[in-house]
Amino acid sequence: MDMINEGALLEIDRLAVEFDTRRGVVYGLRGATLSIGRGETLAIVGESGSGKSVTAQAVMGLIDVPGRISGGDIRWKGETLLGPHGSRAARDIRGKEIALVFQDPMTSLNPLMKIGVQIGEVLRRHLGMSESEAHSRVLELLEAVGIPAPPRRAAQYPHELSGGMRQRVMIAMAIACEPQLLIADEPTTALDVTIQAQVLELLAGLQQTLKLSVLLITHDLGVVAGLCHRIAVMYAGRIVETGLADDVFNRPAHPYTQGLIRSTPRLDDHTDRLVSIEGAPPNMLAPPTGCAFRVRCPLAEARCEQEPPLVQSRTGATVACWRPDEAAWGIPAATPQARVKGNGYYDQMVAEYQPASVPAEAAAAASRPPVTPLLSVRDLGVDYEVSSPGFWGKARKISALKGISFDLYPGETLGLVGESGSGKTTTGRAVLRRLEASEGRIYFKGQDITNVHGDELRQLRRKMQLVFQDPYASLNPRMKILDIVAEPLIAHGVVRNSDEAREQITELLRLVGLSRDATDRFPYAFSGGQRQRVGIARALALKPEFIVADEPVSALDVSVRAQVVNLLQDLQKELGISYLFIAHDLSVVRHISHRVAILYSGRMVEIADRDSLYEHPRHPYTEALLSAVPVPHPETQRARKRLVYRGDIPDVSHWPAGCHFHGRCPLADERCSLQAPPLQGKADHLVACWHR
Amino acid sequence: MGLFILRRLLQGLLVVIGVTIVVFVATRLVGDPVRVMLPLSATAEERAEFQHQLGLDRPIPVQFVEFAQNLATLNFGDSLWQRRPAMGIVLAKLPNTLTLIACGLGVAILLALPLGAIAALKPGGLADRLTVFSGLFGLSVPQFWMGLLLIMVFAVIFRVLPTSGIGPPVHYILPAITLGLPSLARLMMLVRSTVIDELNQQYVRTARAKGLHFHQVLFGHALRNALPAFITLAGWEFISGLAGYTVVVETVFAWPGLGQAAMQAIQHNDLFLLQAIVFTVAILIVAVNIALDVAHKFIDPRVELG
Repeated sequence: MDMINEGALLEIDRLAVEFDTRRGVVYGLRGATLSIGRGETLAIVGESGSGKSVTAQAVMGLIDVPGRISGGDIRWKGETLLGPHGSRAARDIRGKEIALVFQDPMTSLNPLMKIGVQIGEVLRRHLGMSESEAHSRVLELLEAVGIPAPPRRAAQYPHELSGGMRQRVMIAMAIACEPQLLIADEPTTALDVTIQAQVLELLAGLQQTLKLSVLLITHDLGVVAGLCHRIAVMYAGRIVETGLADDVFNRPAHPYTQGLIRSTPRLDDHTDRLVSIEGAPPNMLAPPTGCAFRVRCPLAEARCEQEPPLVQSRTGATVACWRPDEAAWGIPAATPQARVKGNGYYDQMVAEYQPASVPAEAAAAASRPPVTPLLSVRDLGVDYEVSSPGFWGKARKISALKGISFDLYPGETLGLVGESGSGKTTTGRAVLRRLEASEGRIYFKGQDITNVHGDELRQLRRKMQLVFQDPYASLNPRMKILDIVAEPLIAHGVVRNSDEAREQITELLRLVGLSRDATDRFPYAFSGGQRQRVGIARALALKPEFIVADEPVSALDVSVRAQVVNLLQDLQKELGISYLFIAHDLSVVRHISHRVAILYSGRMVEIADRDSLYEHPRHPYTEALLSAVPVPHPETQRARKRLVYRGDIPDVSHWPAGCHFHGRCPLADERCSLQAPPLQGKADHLVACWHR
Repeated sequence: MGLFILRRLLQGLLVVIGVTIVVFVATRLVGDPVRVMLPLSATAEERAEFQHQLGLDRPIPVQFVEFAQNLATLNFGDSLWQRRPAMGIVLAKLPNTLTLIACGLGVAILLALPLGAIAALKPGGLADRLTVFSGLFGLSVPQFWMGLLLIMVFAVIFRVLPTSGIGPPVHYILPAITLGLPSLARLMMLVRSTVIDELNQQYVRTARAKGLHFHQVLFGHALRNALPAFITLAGWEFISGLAGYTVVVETVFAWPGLGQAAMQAIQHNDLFLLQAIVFTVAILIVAVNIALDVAHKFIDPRVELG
């Protein structure tokens, strides 16, 4: 037991968790060993399926049938939490000494119970408080987690609170009994970035004042960087590297850690190409023997088929690898990898694309491209009708979007960034004419398409395609890949049936990096990243000039995300397509976009060239947004000043008058609350603010 | 809330008026009561005379105006078959039916909650299989057959319970069981499936992570969230019992209730009695619906009353 230090608060010792499913045993954890000391913040980092959440659930005794702990031990202050005796003790420890904050604050609170009662429940259970004692303590707790007007809030139900507020309530519930260990399972993943900044600040503050140990579970290296002492990297149910945060970030020893860090886009860096780890995380029904990463690892060799030993790296981190400290990932290729030439259709396809547009490089290089825009949007507005409940309820008009103007040039990527409710998806849908614009005009190649209908609209749709966010929901599970990609071709009468398009589709799949035999398989056979490639192939089938990509990578794991971002960039270079890239992740947007527009609550607040927007943001909201994005590098992140503005994003049905940001803005004066500022400034950098 | 109830009452009034009109017109189109009431030997003159007495020879709109005027005083005319005020018959029979439904449905509700919840704790376990099996049994056995079977076993063979008719509380046992059994099965299955769903919700994990005792998690959190669906179905059971199933049960057990009266009114082409019954049932249904909405609002604060 030399792995486990004496004074450790929580020790996880070779823990194994298995899930019995219809298709066989899924290995959730395969011997994870970890310990956390008093007052320490430890992060478990990993992609989906790596077992990081399972670890948290095992500690909290939340592994349910069909799951079971099949080996190893969990000790709290030296006493086991497993076995019949341990489970009984665990129930008293849970919620009192170890508390858990879940990922999704929208579903983690009981919708039918007042939040004050939900928090009070813990106090009454563990500290035996009376109802009135609990109530006054609840008010203190709400105050401590920064919820204004605690007495009013305590009497409210979860649906009356915003996501950020609910996560604060979850935290209040967790710290109610002054626990020694707080397990935070993706605590900010479901939150918008400015709200994430508020919550992270709160967690860091509480850790200081309450002398908490924190076990932070996340996929986001940026969140880890600013907050944690130590990092444990998980892959396929095992911990592959554990070390001090700075060491792991600066000199990662395991090839997977290296790949993970290199494939994470950084806000403060705009290298055009990300490192991507080929392949996908393993299927945990049949994890590879030996080192699970070997199938994706550039350093893999014969002995990797044996279980790798735990060794010390140069920096003193513990690594499970046969070849630690070797550089696994070279400098990424600046140009797309050469493709195997096919039967000529692909070349023809590239040739057909080129004349329609100027090369992407040229478009990107010139700040004012000397060509007419492919797409022009002027003062676009979208209203929704909301009917109130009941027999006699009247429909109410809600303005979801107002005064949106931008141009998109051939071969260019315009990043459209905003938090939830900002109207970015609405903009994309209105541009594609899938949603009627209530005001403003949309021009495609100089032609007004705001009101085209029928055949004209169908013709137009061939030129404008959409890539969806969720690769799982956007492919019909009962259709073969061939039929999925052929569907747009059939719909537009290019081919009569999918077999006629087989050759063409094989080429398309090759273009997006899928093999020929993909055509006759069903979506379930593919990983998330591969499915998103299918979605891209489907969008490309009609040779569009312009693609709206609505959060195309946000559902993907970091290492796979880089693959898809790189693919989109390669396709643009080769085919000259324009993208309207809708995203909430500013780091990804920086990598892929030539120009960036920022939306806030249905208004465009700033639009500029990528670099001038990221280096010299002018709107106070853009500043706050950029400062809130965590950078996955500890020193950098610690040195950054975070602007955390109080308050929530206004709800679409209750937008304030004037500038929508004025309620949270440090510069706001009376004028801001009365009059909405117009988008103005130099031609290549427009901002909607009275003060900038 | 007050405004909501007022609005719903107005809506309900429309429903009641609509139903009454439909029944009024339909009963007059479907059959001629005179033919049933007079002996076959009656002459055409006698028939016309009798029709005139009842006012049935006038045009339907004229009849309706008079009907509507009488409605304001809840006067539905005399029952053709029993020769006394129709509303009086309804009011005399209604309590028998309501107590029967209250017994049957009350037991069903009280049993469905714990049985369904126990089944939900371990889907696929022994309790769950028993629940699902007996639930399917309760759903698939026809009520008239169930009633006859119960009479056979408990009244004829063992002679422990009365065969039929109303009387002291023992008379309620068999009809209440017959009426409540399918409701119990449906409610139990619903509780089972909603509690299974709720136990998999994230907030239940939160409750467990708080270290709450198991009964607190089950009753305080999961079962409570299953309630809105439960009361919706319970309300539906009440309504469908009132509007239909009691007819079967009351016929089998010779229970002097509204269902039996409705049955007889149809058999005798007694349109005045039928109108009074339909009117009363419609009002009860509307009232139950309003009560359900209000109960929803109390259980689930997210419900918006329009």
